[in-house]
Amino acid sequence: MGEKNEYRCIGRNTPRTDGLAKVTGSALFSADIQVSRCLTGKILRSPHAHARILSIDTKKAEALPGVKAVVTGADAPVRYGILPVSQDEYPLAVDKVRFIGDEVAAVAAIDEATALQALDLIDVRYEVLPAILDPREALVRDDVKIQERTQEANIERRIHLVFGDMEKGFAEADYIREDRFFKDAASHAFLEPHSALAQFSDGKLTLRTSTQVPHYVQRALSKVLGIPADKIRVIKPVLGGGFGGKGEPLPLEFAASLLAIKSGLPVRITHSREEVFLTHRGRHPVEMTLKTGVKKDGTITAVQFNSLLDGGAYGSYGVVTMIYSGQLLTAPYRVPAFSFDSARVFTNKPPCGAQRGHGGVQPRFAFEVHLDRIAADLGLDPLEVRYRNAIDPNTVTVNELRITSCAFKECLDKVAETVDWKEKRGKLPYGKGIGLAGGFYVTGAAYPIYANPMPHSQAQIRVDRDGGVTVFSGASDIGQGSDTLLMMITAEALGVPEQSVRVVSADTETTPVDLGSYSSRVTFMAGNACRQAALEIRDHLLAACAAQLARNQKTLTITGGYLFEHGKEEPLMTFAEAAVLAEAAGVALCAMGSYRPPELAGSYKFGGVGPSPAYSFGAQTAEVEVDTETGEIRVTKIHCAHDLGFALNPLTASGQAEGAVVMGFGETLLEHHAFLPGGRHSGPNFLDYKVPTFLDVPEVDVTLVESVDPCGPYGAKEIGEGSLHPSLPAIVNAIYDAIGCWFHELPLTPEKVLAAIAKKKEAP
Amino acid sequence: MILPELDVRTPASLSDALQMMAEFPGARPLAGGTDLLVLLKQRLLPVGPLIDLGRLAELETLGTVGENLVIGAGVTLCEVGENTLVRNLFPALSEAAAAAAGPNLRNMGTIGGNLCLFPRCLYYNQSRFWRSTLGNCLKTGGESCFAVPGSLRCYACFSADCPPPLIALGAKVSVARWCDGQVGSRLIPLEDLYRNDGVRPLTLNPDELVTAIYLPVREGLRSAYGKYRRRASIDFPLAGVAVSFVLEENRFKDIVVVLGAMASAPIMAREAMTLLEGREYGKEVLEAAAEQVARGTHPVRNQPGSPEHRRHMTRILFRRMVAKLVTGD
Repeated sequence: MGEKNEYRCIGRNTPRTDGLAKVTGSALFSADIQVSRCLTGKILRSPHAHARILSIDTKKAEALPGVKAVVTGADAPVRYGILPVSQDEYPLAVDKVRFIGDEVAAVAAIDEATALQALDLIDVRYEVLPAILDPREALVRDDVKIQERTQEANIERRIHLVFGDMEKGFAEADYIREDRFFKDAASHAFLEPHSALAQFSDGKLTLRTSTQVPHYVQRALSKVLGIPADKIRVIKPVLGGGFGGKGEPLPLEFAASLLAIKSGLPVRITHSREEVFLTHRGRHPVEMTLKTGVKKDGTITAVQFNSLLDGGAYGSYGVVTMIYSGQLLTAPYRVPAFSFDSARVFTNKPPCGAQRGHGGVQPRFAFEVHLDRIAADLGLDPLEVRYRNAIDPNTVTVNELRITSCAFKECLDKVAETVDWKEKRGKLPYGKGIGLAGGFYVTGAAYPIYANPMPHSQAQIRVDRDGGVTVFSGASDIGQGSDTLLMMITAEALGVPEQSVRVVSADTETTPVDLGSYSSRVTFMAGNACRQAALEIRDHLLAACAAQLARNQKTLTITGGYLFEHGKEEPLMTFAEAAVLAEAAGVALCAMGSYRPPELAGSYKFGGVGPSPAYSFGAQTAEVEVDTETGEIRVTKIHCAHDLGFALNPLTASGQAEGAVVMGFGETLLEHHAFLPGGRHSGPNFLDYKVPTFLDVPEVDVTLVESVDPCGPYGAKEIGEGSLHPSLPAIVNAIYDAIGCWFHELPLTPEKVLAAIAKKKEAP
Repeated sequence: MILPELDVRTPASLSDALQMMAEFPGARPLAGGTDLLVLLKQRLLPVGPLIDLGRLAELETLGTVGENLVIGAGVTLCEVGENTLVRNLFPALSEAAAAAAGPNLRNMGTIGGNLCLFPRCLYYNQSRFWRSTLGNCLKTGGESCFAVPGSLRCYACFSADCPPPLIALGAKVSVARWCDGQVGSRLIPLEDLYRNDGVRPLTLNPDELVTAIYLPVREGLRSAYGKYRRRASIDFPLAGVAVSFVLEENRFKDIVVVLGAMASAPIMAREAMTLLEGREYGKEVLEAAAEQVARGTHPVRNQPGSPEHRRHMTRILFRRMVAKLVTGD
């Protein structure tokens, strides 16, 4: 990290700008914002997993004193969906309900108690239909259609892609292994439940909502409500975590808007925790098979992957999840031939969507365990096998992903060294073990969700005559700290102290467009846009000052909030004085910056999903202790080394990696988004859905590895998602080291561990 | 989820509280509220007046009186768990209190509340909406049991941590009510508070309050509590095992083994107790007793995890605890 010395702001541990407000409780989340005469909205939900709606009678509810509006699917029978290929949702159900919890109607009343009472008065007649809960059944069952648009059974989409010469790859292999894996669903478990506050006046809709993607919400609202987008303002207030669960337009946002339009009063809908679980959009359950050919020394010759994704009732991000599930297996190891066959099916359960590490988490778990099994079969060291296959910088993968900066080998070195791999692996007493896994992830998708050539991020910077700098950015700080990073990048590029920069973000009316917080794109793309704007305004300022002072512009510089002339120790003037001087020359002190990724799409259908302007790389080791009598697993330590290009703010970057590791740990051992027979969620609350608390998590040790990406802002890439991928398989591989049992299904339970130990005793 | 509108009464003294309990039909005592308020939010209980016991000094005692350690019903789980006297005299109780719920809830939740915790079930402790998708179960006035289809009785799971060790330690509780213009109270063995019925778990009359716990102090008593749960920081027990005994010349004397989370009340592992009573400590006899502990349990599928594994855990917890109490490791 030696290069950091040349920087004044970036590269230093910087507390977040919103930290104090959050810990003191003064930060205003969507549900905290006070508006006079605000109504409370509530949503009526389907009690059936699959049913036809025969009739809805809202008269009694409307007649209840205190009720100001009731809306149903008939108020906005327009389909929408985050993906252009999956426009299969309505704000409120039209004709059919497809899972227990599907939105049927909504009411706005003077308080929550009245709204709840009104829900009871809505009379809905249903014709119950057979429900499909098992994805294997969905794959073949033609007599029941969950979504009418499916052609074959309940398959939303299939994909089949082949790269390289598979036949030759397997023919060249000395050893071929096939395995089946299953990773069940998980939920984002963000702390702040969804909340949307809608106001409608003078033909204009304002929606304050807990969203990661204000731009996409604005677009969908315009489509569904038939209001021009310029008459819709979407604002993201302070947000308490998203992880993908707030990454698309959601029914409550439409329902609040419809109720506000109908009642003429502000309406807020805030989900209960149960409603958060039912809205879901979390990790897909995925069944996977892997077949891999290797040479004697572990060199990979071919990989064949199949996956079946249980999508739940609607499309959501699922087609992208499905494509990612294969596309993200061609690194961080060289795979000369690769094919994948995937399908996503509909079932009568809450819709699955994007969750941190989107698309790659399940196959990464499968592949890294599969690779360890191959190593074990061949008597090879799993570290050595990974090292042998590890990709180098500046390569192109078999599916045409352009890899530029890459420090994967360094990540492997770091974790192996810290965990003392050579001394410990295979040498610890029975019940104790260490495991290793690698991974990589995109730094932003190379293409927007709806095809268009606009920049993915734009930023506008204004300098005031008092020296204050304001950044306007559409980027959504969802708790990851992007406002802080944009402040740091701007301050660095402009040469002013961080304290003089403030960031105004995520308001479709006042900030230029940004696609939102998903696929780990914000630091890279919004960061580049801010940097460009800051550099431009700096040039304007210097040129104007040079003219005013009759100096050559090249001899002037701005550093630390002062204007300097080269070679002189004393500054010429303060930044504020320079701004006033530039103004006097008639210069408008504002500038725009933007970022659009280069053309990176692969030369094949679906080749646009997977490419990214940069990729992060990482490796992790887990240390575990297994109680072989009770089946309980204790993860004592996880070491994470992550190539994030450049650590703009090491403090928040480490926090991202720690959070990701903890999430991966939870999904491996505790968290289970499960359903009882009939399609009821097994426990839509934080008691039954077991998120690890601070007292449950292992010690996490993060090493930030810097490869300095050629295109990232100051060389930065992503860290918040890719650092989740290796956690799951590292734990599973460590358990094998501890007790000699492999696990192919997650989450793990003590029951599964004991069953595996017993089975191994029977047939060692 | 929001609470229904509540009518909270604040009595100035215990006798005041008992009068209110007698006066208002449907009144319920409110102590820490960590269990009650959730049930009210989920609309699992009829809404009646809540008698706030939070400020009653009479329920806050904790200390030795004569031969007994007396713990007021209003003492928080946190205080019980951290109290030195409790830790030295009755480690099983100390361990149970410190393992109940999670740290924040232990600051609010009381030991009296823990004794009166409502038994739990996967199909019962859910929101009104969730339950509406299924219909009523035995515990909510319906005719079917979803956990044990076809069952005529409710098997809701006894999920409190403190009662098993308290019973193993010979606790008695005082139960008070307002009668004939004064406070009347009776002292009953704690096990008599329970009736192993998921719908009506307690033997208390609606106007009665548990006010204090009396634990006989006994020289040389060894005790421990073991709890199995998926998440160590905060969870109800999937299995709870309490044991107490005196060791005389390496022989078990007055051994009591009480299990939680295996039925709708704490249950005594009588076969194991009989097997060990008077016997010399040894690995084989302990293993045989542990086998009996597990064999005597019949958990049902109304909690997370498999019933088989929960039974298995009673065996392991019991064996490990007893071995540790005897040998020190």
